[in-house]
Amino acid sequence: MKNHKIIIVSTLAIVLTSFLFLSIAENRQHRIKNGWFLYFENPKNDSMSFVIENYSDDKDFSWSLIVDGKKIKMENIKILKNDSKNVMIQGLPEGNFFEIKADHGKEEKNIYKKL
Amino acid sequence: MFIIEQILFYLSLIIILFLPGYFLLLAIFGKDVRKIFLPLENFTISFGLSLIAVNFLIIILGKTGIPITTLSISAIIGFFLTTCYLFYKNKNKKNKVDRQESIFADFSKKQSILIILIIFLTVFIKTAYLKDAIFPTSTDLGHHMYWAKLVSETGNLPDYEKLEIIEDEGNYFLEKSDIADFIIGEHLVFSAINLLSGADFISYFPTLVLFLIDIIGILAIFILTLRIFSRKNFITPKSLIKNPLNISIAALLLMGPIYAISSPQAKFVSGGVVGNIIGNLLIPLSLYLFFRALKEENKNLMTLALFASGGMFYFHHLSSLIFIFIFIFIILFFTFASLLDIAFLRIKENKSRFSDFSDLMKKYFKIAFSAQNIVFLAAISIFVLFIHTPSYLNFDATSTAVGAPSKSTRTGLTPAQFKYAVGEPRLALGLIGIFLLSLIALSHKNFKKKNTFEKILAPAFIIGWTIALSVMTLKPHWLYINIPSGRVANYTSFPFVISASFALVWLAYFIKNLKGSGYFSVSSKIILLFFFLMTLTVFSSGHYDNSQSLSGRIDNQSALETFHASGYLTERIDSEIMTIKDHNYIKADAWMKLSFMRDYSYPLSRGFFKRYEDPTKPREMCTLWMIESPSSEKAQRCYAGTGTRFVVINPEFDSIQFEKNDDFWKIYSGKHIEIFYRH
Repeated sequence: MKNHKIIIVSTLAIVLTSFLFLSIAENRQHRIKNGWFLYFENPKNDSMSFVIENYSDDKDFSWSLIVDGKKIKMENIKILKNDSKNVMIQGLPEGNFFEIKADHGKEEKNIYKKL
Repeated sequence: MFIIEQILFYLSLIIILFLPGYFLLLAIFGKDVRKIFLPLENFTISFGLSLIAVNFLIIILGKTGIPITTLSISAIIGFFLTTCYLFYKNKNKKNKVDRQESIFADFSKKQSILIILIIFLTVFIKTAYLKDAIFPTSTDLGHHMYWAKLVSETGNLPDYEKLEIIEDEGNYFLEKSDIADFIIGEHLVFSAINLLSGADFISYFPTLVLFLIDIIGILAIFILTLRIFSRKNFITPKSLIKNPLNISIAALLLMGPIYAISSPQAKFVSGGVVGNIIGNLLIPLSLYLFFRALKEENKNLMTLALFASGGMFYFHHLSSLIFIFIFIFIILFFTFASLLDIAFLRIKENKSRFSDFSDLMKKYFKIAFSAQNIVFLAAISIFVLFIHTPSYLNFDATSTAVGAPSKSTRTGLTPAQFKYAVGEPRLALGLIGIFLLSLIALSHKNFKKKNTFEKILAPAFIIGWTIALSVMTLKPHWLYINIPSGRVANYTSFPFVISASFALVWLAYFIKNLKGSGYFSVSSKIILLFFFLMTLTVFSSGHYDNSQSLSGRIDNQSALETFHASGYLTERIDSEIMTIKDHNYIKADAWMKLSFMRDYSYPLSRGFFKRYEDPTKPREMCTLWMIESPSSEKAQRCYAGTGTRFVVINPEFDSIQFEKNDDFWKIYSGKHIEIFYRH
């Protein structure tokens, strides 16, 4: 029966090695690579404060506030990798269509509210 | 942190998936456990019994009103282990067995190395596939983990119900309705591991648990083959197959590395087909226990067989239904082969062996319905009727599984589809194996000796199993069953693997014995070459299938965006607000419900488009309209009736219709996900 025990121990060692490898592989896949997000801090009211989350190496962002098609404000900001920036917008002008546009490299994203 | 998490995970696996079964074996068999079971058998059976025992223990815990927590699970498992140990200590050595029993399967050094290499290759190929598929994205696994997390969070057994959209005279509203598709055993083990180890549901742990069950399922086929073809149980002459242990090694080879990824192997693991994977372990394990209980006339083994097969009903209804048919066909084939021989001997030699057969059947009946087994069956009945009835018995699931096929997918596979389901070389070799086994079972030469009806049992198990699954897959209407034939086909490879391994080893010995026998004018070297070519075909076919599945690399970044969006919404929604998401173009969307934990149907989901066109199963259309045409009057009524405010879509496919509508604000923007708010 010695060989049976060797088979069991070997099987456990093989399975354990595989499980460890898969656990590490899965753990590594939980990191967002080269992405970024733009969203309103409060989606349900008329606040235009927003957040940019950066998961890319490029830390340079620019954003603009556009009201009814007219650019009201524009700013460049730096956000480190795996960090986020909360941008507070106060004193909104009169208007219906409020849009936040953010640029990052060649990519552009927008969010808006129609008040 | 990761190391501690890993240690806790492996400890919880030992506590939940090994110790209860091992202690149960000790309690039942006492010190004889080492004589009755080989160490490999002990290991495999302990795992299967642990699954069932822990499932029952947590159900009892939930039904007594004690919250299901880390402490209560530890306590009840501790209590169970202590009770079993006390039984073990007080056990009289009643079940004396032949010490020679365990020696029959003493593998040689070469055989052991081969077994280890096959297991290594099996795990290696599956690991290579799972490396890219371990990330939790599969829809089925997401659905199952919702219930498992619900148990962990609430401490109660789940009520399987969900919100459904109901239409009443053009108005829509949400109403709770029961779900018959889920079975409690698919979830409790995951809850227990989560509670004991603290491992997150959205992690590697659910897939690794399924992977482990899959590997033990392969070992279950291995030990079943080992027993069925042991010299003691099988009637093949020594000259035909010199070493029957090689058949089990061949089974391990055909079951493990060959077709290691295709369904129902690694693809089912990553796909989260929980019930099916557990069924693939419990079916061969139950057959193993029934086979040994009858062959060895052991009441304790019969009790375990009843425990394993009864426990299966708390894990997977399809596997249980299939098991019932397998069992019936084994009995039918055994009776048919025995009666055929009785008739043959009556005609040819004017001898009646009916009394022998009848005595054997009486003996089997006594084992099955011994006092302890009647008590056990009564306990199981009480459990089913008064403690916990499987959810599918409460609803229409049984009636929908029985009857004339209601869809084209239930009318049976074509022979070509069947061939691909089993694996071409496995089917070809398996048919040769079935032919040989039938010859052995029906050959009247075997019946001249005493007690030879018992020798039919081994081939009857394989042939009955094969016939049952072949008929269920190819001609389901013959058996009056109405279940998807493709799903049944996933079970067919198992008996074919066993018969194919018998054929492979028989052919190998046949060719070996040809040397110098002068049977054929063809050179034995040519036949040997033919055999190697055939073996090569088997391997290359199986590994070609593996390579096809390994070719694609999966990017999980879009799934991470889904989790990010879920996290964003979870922090910002209140109890009154409903959310809808799209299932067609959003990856890992089924896992969103694990962030919210508000209802199985939260968020609402636009399903696959074909589902809305299925004439056999009309379904609500709100989820389709709300995303496809949000401005339409019907969609507006759906939004109002269901209280849906947030819409999660993939901007590449579904952004325009919301941007054109003034009712919606775009509040969240990612690369693969956008969220709109209906204000």
